[in-house]
Amino acid sequence: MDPSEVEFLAEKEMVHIVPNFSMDRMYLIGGDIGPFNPGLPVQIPLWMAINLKQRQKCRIQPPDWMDVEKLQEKKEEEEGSEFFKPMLNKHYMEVAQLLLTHATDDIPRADEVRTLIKDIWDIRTAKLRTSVDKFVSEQESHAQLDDLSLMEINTMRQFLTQALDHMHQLRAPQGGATQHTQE
Amino acid sequence: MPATRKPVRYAHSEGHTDICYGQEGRYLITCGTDGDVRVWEGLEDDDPKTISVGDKIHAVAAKNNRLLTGTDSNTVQAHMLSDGAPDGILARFTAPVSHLVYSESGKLLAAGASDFNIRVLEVEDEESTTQYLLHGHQAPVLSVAVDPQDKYLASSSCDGTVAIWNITEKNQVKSWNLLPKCSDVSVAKTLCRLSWQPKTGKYLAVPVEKEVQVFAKDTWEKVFTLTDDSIEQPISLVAWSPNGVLLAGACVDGTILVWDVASKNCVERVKHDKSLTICGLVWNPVNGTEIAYTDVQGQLGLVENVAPESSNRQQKSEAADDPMAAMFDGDDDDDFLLSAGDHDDGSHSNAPGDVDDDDSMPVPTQRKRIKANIFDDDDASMGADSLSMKPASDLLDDVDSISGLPTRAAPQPVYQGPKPTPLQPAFQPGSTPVSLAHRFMVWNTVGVVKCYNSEEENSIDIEFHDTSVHHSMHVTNHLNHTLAALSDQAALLACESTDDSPSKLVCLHFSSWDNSKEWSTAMTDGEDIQVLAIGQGWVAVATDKRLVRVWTVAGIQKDVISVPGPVVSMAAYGTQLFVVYHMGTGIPGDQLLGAQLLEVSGRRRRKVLEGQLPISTKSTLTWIGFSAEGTPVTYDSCGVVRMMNRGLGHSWTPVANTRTHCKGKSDNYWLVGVNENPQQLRCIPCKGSTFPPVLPRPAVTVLPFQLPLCELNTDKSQLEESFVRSRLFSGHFQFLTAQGWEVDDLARADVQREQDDTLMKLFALACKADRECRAAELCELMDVNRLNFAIKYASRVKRIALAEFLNDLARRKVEEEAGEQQEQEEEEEEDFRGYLDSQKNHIETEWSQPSTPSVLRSSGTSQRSSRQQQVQEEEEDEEMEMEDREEEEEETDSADVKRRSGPILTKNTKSSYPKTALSLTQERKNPFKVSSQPKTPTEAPRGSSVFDKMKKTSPGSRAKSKTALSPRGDLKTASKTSATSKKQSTQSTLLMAAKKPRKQEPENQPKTSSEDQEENKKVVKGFDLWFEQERATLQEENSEESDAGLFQLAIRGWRKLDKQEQKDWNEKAKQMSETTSQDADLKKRKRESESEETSQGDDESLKGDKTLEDSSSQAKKKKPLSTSVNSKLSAFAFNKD
Repeated sequence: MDPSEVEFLAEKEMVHIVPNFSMDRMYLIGGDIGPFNPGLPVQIPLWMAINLKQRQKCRIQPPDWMDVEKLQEKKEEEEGSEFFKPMLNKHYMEVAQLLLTHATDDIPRADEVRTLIKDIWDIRTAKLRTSVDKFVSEQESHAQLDDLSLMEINTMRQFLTQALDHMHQLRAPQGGATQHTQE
Repeated sequence: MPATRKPVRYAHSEGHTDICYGQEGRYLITCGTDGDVRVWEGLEDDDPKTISVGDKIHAVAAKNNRLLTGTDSNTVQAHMLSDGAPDGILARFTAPVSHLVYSESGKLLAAGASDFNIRVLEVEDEESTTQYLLHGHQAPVLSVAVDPQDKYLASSSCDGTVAIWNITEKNQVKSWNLLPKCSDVSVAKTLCRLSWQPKTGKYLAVPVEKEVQVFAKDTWEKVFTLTDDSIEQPISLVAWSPNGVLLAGACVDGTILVWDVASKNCVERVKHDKSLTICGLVWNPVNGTEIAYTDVQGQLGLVENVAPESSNRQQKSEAADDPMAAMFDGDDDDDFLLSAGDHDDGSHSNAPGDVDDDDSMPVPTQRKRIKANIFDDDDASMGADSLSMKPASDLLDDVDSISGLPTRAAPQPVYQGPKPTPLQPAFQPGSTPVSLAHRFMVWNTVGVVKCYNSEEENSIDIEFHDTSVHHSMHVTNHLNHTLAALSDQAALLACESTDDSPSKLVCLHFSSWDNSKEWSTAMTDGEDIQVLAIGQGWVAVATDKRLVRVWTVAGIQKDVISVPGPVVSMAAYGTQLFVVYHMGTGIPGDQLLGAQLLEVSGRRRRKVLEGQLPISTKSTLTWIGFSAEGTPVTYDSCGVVRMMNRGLGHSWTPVANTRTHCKGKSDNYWLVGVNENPQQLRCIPCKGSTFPPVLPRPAVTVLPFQLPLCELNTDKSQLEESFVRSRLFSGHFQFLTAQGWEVDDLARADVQREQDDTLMKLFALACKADRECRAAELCELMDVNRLNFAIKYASRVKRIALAEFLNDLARRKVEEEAGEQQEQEEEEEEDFRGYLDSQKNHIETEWSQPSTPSVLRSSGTSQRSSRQQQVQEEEEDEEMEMEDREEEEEETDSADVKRRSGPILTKNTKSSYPKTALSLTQERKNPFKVSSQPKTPTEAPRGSSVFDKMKKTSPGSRAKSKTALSPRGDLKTASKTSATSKKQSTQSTLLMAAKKPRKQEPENQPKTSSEDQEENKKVVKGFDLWFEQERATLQEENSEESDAGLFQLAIRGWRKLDKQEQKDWNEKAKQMSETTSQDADLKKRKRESESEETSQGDDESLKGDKTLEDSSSQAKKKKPLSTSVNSKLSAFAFNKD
């Protein structure tokens, strides 16, 4: 899966915005949205929020979890744990990326948030690598990984599955190898 | 009594300092090399006012509100003492100013500078620019002193000379070479501050080495010298006490000595605890017993209580035998010596102790503070008059003897009762406190006005929630505005008055179509704006003079209204102005607020309400405003939101309590807006504070309303709450209509439906709980339409008594309604609005009414036209009978229509009214007649239950009774008896009973019933055809039957036919009836479709509704058809609602 596809999925996340225009309820396939009252927060999908933001039609209210204290806490929790911890949002990376690109001015302490998100991402990716490493080196046949976000899975899946395939072939008994050549 | 030296305190950074007293001794003013002037209200003043002048300051002088400084920038600068604002440059030199002094009279200012020059300025008149340049010194001038009579000036210079100048002639009168020479002020060993004896200026004191030489004026001869054995270092400064009796001198080593001039004895010796050089020394000009000084470390010190007796005594003697110098040396010598000796002893013995104790003497400090206050208070009366020294020193004595404040502390009668509650100050709704550097001046439903007031900037940001209203604005806050109001037409800003400018109102009228978008007005003198409000096309301002001033939005003054008390707050909406003011002092802890609701513009200008404003216990009002629909709302510090209930005499109802939503105890909600439809309480959650911060930008949340009803955990209470709330929040529809605004009918219908649903739920709940009486009460709140459903429901759940009661109720209601409508139309012309106000929420059904009148009226006219169209009156009775059966279901509806339109019909056809009544009285007899004939008992199984039938027929009887309004009592009994009889009788007989009279109507009153007849005839057609065809077969099969019996059978057979077949027949019949008019035809079709639906015996309300809806939509499509059709159909359309 392409990262952009993951992002596309993440754009379905709902965020609160404060519109600066007035509009009636909208009926979309994904559900009804609105009505929009100027100055009154309303919940809409992220893709629409970004679009409105780009047209300067709204201010985006950062999600609850996009808060320096909470992220700090999460980061520490993640650091202190051997396993993956449930994330604040299953699309945290994508949402943060989108919001921090398009609505930096609406997010208090955006720089700190950016750093923290990146830190958490790095910690989790590192964890993922080590566990994959362990998995491969111990030649386990299966492993359980909980609380991985789609984006994280996506970074590893392509490579890991192929690599496991190859390794399987390499480790296969001679017979298998001959079989392979025979084919 | 010994002098006490207070511990020194930090005043400036290290370096040369100077000191003077300002405003008759009220302030101590110091300056230093840090470039600041500090104004102290006393030595203990922990927060001295700082005026930053800029450069190093060498000298300071103050007179009245003017503060002069001699600075490194070679100028004498003036500042305002009160606010530190620069006030110009008085004189310029070519080198830094070293000393600056006012003459005693205040007319002259002398300044000496390092450029060897002395300038004397006439400063009495601020415009005067007269300057005298005294040139002659060969080195920088050290100090200057002006003779009290403004004739001479004494100066000392680094060239070692002390010179006397005649100011006006600008020449040197006398010069002595007394001092060591040096090159600059900074390296001079002493500052050689000179001093003239106050008042007369008889003596000039000059510090020379370790003594003070005193020269006599005019003769310029040395009269005497003052010295003391304790002096170890040269004396640098001298200063006469204000009364001229004492002379203080300060040595380079920090010793301060005070001589009694008459006795030439040193009466006080005080030593600086760090032996620092003193560079500034002044007597307190008011009490004359305090000496303030500063040292070269920038510290400020005070010596108090300097030889008070001595000064007193001296003064008396001086007053007695004034000017003779001889007297000083003569008679009184012994006394003086004695007293001086006493003092010497005293001071000697105490001096060391004083020095040690000074640092830890809180008690005297305390006392001194009190004393200082007393002097401050007395300032005005005392002035600089030396005679007033006496009471002052008396007081001093008293203070010292700890009896403390004898006169002031005298026991006064103390008020023992409850303390009056402090009145809450005026506030602008939606603003945060003025003291904040970044604050909201207003936040309302239109936008936000923010004020940034920091050192770098003072500006106002106006933002609109809806950017289509106007783009945001950034205004520099020149006038220091503190109040703002915002609407979609204009923004108002207002500032408080200052000393020299009145309170001002600025209106940014951005919606104006001309080019001038701004206007401003000043208030009258001494009038301060307190609250602002903007309505539709007008603005209002409340001032502290208890006035509300009204302008148009373009700036025409329209009204001035006096408010009964100090204004607390104000809000505007449309034409309404809502003012809250203090009515007096409430019970302890409570505010006693009054409210006025005015309509200040528009068609009717009037006062809607004046009365007390309810508020929670011990709370203050924090917000007032209008809902988006124009209902006044208040919010108090206890978190209770109250809304005006227009339906109940403008009373107030608590509609929400934000505290119940708060998580923490110190959390608060800050209200920004209220919406009635949808019900929204818009507020900003403030965690741990009362006000939201400007940054980060706070987010608005929406809270629900909840009326504080009891037992809100039960279903019943919740439904009740929902109903009461819904009723309260729909009050605005009525109001808006009355105001001539357009109302969203859809929204209104929604609200109505919601209310009805709630009522039905409550009704069901009451039925379930065996509370029939309660259920009946609920039904009284319903409209007739809903009542039908209620009756159905009641009969379904087998609540016979209830159903009967409701039946009665429904009839009564219809009558009332009719009566009301009549009244209403009569009154309409007189005072429609007032009527509505009084009738609001009176009966729920009224909400569904407004659309009715027009519909009904049209139906009335159509009725007449249809009457004219009447063609066929010669229908057979048989057909009528049959139609009765066929239409048994449909009848309910037609009866409904009739019932609804009834009142108006009668009204429009008033002439025929009594006759109808007559015919109906006749008809009443008939039902019983017919019911007594057990005609078609076989029909019984069709109805699902007895009550179903009853329900079906009862509206019919009701319909009849309605047309006959006058014989009310008769009717009631009649219908009751019919109701009871119905219980036993079968459906068909009932129907006969109900229908029979109609047959007779044509004879008695052909005009009114003609329409019915017409309908009947048409519907029968399908059956007719079929009957014709089937007659033969029927006759064959049942040959023994009479015609009537045959007919019965035929009807049964017809019924057994399926719908399609019936329809086909009807279709055929329609085609055949070429003669009938088009409209009649149409009506028939409609009827058919209905009868199809209803003949299934399906009495579910929903389904019924649907049918009606269908038929009404059909009706709409065919609108251009005849009026009679329209009337019928529109009646259905109405039914749908």
